[in-house]
Amino acid sequence: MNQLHSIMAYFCIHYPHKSELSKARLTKLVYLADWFSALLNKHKATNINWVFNHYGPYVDDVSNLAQRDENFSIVPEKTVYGGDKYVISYSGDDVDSALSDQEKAILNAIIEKTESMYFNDFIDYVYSTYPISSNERYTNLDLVALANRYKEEKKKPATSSS
Amino acid sequence: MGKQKFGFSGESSVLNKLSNSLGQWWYIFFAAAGSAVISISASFAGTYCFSEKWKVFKASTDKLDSLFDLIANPWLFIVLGSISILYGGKGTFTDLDNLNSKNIKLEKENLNVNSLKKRINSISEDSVSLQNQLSSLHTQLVTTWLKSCFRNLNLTTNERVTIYYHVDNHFYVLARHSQNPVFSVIHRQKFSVNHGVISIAWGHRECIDIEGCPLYNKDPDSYKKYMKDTYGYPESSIDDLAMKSCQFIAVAIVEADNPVGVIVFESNKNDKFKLQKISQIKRYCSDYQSYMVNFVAGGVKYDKSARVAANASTEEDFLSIFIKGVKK
Repeated sequence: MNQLHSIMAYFCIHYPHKSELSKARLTKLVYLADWFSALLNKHKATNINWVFNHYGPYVDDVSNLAQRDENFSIVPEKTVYGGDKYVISYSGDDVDSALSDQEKAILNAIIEKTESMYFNDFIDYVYSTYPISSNERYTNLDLVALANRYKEEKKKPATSSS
Repeated sequence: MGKQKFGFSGESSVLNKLSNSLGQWWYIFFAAAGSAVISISASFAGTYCFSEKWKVFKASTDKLDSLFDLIANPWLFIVLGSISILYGGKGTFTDLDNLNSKNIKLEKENLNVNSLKKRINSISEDSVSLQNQLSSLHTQLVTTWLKSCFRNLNLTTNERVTIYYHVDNHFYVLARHSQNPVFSVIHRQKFSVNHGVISIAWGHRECIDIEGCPLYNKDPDSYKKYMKDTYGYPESSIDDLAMKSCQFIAVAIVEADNPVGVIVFESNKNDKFKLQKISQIKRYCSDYQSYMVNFVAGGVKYDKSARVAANASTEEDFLSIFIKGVKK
């Protein structure tokens, strides 16, 4: 069982609003897990190489794994205006033992921070993270390097400009 | 005008609160008072003898006084207490019944709120998805325009053209085109406003550099030094650039005398752009200025990331949870 599998399963089990766990939301939750893990643990939680495009931080790894793994199911639904939405759910074994306490603490904090957000607020939250909002943004997001740069910038004393 | 405590113009709410409290406790008061009256009256009822009081009444000369003595007996108070309990009990029951109905109604409404929340989230997903599609379509539109621009100006696989828009002291790539697919890939999307060709064109309306820059292939060190000295690029980052351009024509996109973006033509050859080509490109930019202004306006409008980036304390906020103590 790889880390991406465990993290996706953990979100599916513990996220309180299961019907909101669309492919897009779950992907961005995994991005947040990777980013905050890079900040706190100096390494990402998964091996995903994140790309920033019109859809924000996006990769197909999450939906590909959900399609491949029989413990996940992807249910196609229609949004209010008839748009396509794919809700991901998990029916396999518990994954608590596959994650460290620190990893679970990060995932729990992400759930707590974002569970009350409507999708647009959630996207704003994702876009407000340093890899997206920093002075220079690259299409390929090297989260560990960006975490180091974020810490360096925070160490620098604030300078005033006129 | 004198201030009044009570009356129509009075500001005191003490009596209102008092009457509200009295109203709320009304039925409970009657039920409790009835019980108290029955308890007290019952303790006297055992010793009260009606026939004796009747005899006293008949023998009495002051009938009115004796009548009161006859009527005001413990049994009468027991009856009044019972009526009070019944009145208070019925009122309390009705009150609880009303509260229960209200509770059921609120629970039903709460279910509706959850369903509404679900709908709002669904609509919100639609909205974000449509914004993403709009942004993507807008980029496609601008890229198509850049393709026609590329053809009209007879540019080759050694050149590329990019449009940047400006938001909050940063430049963002709106669209890029080159006939060479290696050069058209966008690696970096957001740039600081304080260095590079874009920055000079932004500040001075144009930046034309067709002679000074050495060819990277022939002399990489001189190229790096030139780029560092002229445009402030760190030498270490130059090797990673997909296109080592040495001719630049950058023109500001101006709306009502305010620069809103920049269009940059660049070539990795040192003999592509000559005076005639420069004037052709500048004329083209001038002719299509209003188009580019619209493209830039769309870019700013549809790029959510450029608008959200301004206020970011997300990391500090998140990390503070872990400074306080690891969450279990």
